[in-house]
Amino acid sequence: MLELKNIDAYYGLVQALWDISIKVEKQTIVSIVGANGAGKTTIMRIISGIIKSKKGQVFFDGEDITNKESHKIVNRGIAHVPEGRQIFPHMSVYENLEMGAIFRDEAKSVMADTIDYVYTLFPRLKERTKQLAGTMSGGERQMLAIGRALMAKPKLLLIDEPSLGLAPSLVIDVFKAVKEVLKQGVTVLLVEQNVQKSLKLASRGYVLDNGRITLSGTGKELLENPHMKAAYLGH
Amino acid sequence: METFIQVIVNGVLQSGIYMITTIGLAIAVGIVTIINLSHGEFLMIGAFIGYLFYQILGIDPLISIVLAGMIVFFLGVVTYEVSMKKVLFTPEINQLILTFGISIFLHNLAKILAGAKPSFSLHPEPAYSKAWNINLIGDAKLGIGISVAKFIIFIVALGIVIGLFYILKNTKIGKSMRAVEQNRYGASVVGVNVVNTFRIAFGISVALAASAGVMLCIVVSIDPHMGFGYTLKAFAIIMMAGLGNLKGVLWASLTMGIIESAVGTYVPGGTGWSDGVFFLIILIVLIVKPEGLFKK
Repeated sequence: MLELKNIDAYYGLVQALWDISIKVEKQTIVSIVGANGAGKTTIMRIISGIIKSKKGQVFFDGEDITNKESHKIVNRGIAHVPEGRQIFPHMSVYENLEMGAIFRDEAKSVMADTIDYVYTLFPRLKERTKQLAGTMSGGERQMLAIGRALMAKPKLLLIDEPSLGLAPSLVIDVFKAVKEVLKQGVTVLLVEQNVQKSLKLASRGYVLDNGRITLSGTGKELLENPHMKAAYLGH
Repeated sequence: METFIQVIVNGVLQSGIYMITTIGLAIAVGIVTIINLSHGEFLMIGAFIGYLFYQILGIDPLISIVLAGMIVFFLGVVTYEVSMKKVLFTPEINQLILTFGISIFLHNLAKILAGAKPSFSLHPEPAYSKAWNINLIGDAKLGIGISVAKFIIFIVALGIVIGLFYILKNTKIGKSMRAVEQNRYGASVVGVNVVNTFRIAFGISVALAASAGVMLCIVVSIDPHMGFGYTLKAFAIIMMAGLGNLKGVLWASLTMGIIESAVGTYVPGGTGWSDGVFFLIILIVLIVKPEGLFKK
């Protein structure tokens, strides 16, 4: 469904990614793990068109979407839950969700149904539908960011660091929601620093180190890999 | 007593022009992130469009409010495409130099075109350029005068404000503008076409200034130099309202309109002082409550 081929990316003159190739099969969860600053978020931004790659290609559903504008990529069915949530603080929960739907033609017409679905997934959001998003807690904002992305009826969901800054019980909720989303037929590319949790969930994982992919395999393989255990899992 | 009421009435009526000028600038500053020092020149262009359409084509300036808005909208989009776009997200000094340059260019271009004539006013005056005299409590001594033209302009300005808030709240482009203002990254990931939103927001920004300019040509005499003072006043009102607070702009405009009118009436030689009072108040606001006086 999604394929990155030999992507190089730069921030100004500084190279952030070297020769990244990743494959995400339909209706699976693929996880990218790695330390802070390894380039995980950069990969997400390349896919969703927020930044441009210098070299390499991105294919989605067989089409070349390399360096397309972000609003066109959303319209093709890739929704991005960005690092730091990036919700609209002076809009209500409902308005934030609406913003997720109105820029994708296919999503706009079924908006009411999708909102119901998001509200069943996160009952907390339903309770706060009129509240201004800027006044909510970190966990609620994360739910809202995921909900907003789901409003686009995506085929592929990019989720960047959903557990960052959340209390452990909320982390469980968020991961539960990710699993639930998968059941609905959405493919998920997950970036996480919580290596254990995300690899357990993932059918496939990639390990990113200083902008390069150093290891890949099924989630299980990676969890049992001695190098992984030493470097990331603290065994 | 009637002087006091007259002061309030004059101030309120004046504030309509400030509202739409300043909301325009607030859109440029808050949404497009351009500190547009040439905002007042677009107001001046609007004023001359209103004047020329009336003198040459006989079009009523009230109609020109809309026409000038549309013409200057496109002028703004072109200005954005050829210049503003290039300085977005570069150090602010680039924006200041660019927009200051545009201001000087437009100002001097207008001066050349205007020739030797120092100022322009509508001739003959439109039919509504008269005053209503209202006697309060049926007592002829407590009479105040309301300029019909200023009253109409105020109502039109309020209409424009309401229309604008409706657009921001309910339309796709309005929602895009709010999204970009609140979180540009968030806007990109939900699929807002950020580049297009900037372009249209800038067009709307200067179109509002131009509409205010047409209103001014009805009630005062206009000249090529009129723009810069309005740029400064609009910045002053934005500071008073608090950055990014569009509703606050309405209250701040009202406050400034009334204060200006009061100083012009009560302070000896006041009309000369009333412009200066704007900046005195801004100074005080920045010292005492730099986040602005009005709740968002």
